[in-house]
Amino acid sequence: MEKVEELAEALKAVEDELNLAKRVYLAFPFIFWGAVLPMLYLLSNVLSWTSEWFQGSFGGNGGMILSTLAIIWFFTEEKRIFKKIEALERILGVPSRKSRRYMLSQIASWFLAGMLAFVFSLSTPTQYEFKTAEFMLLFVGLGVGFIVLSTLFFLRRIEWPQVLASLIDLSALYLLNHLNGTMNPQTFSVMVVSASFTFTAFLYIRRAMRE
Amino acid sequence: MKAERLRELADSPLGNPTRLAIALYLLSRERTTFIELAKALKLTPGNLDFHLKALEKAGMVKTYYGFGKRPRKFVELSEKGTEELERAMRILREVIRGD
Repeated sequence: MEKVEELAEALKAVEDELNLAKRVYLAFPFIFWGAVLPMLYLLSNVLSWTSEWFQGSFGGNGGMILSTLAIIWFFTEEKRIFKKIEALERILGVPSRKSRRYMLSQIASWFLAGMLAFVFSLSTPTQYEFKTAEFMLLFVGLGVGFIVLSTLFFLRRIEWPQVLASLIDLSALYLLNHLNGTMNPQTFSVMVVSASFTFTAFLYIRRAMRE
Repeated sequence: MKAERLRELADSPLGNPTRLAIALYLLSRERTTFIELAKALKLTPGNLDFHLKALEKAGMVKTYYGFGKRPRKFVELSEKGTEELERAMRILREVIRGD
């Protein structure tokens, strides 16, 4: 009997460790974009200012090409992380959150967010920098918001850190209209998205450490 | 019933507690080095090598060399290793719960 109790304690300790690892892996997308987004913005600007080759070779689309490379990098990393989370959930004996419909709904969330953000920002009769900034805040804010809804629908769970990220990004749209030239709108939107993602990752990891 | 299930686990490649610990350590990581693994589990290189060879033979871990300042041996859990670990953990839970 004592042996079984010891075994139960050991198993509980192992499960706690695995749960911690799983939470850290779940925070990965937020850590990634929280760090990569400002770096990407900075790099693309620095290269535009300093390198005629960068401007000339890509016909002004250098930033877009760098973003595409970052997205490819993200998906390569995310694929491995995905498998890890799936394995951890299998070992922990919890039903996998990676059902086909759930995954499709996540992809659809970003697609829908992109479409809506495009339509909204297109209707704004203003300069390019403002439109790009508006698009980014709308796209990320709506995308994360839709992801929250899909998680709620499929897993019956509210991811509060994600709700917060969505609210920060969407509410920053108001501030974007009141910058009054104090800051470049694109810089502002990159900072807001990066801050909201980093904060979300912080909340995930802090929760994992406490529980 | 419990005894039967435990015997089933003991007969599997993860029946040995050290091998079970190795698999669990590898599960939460993408990969680790031989030296890190030995340090974390407080095993001598010879002892770890012995268990890793057994796990590798059973197709449960993959080892390969990477090069930095000096060659390093990397270890990672295979898909078969994950499946075996899932089975082992299920058996342990059943024994504890008394299913």
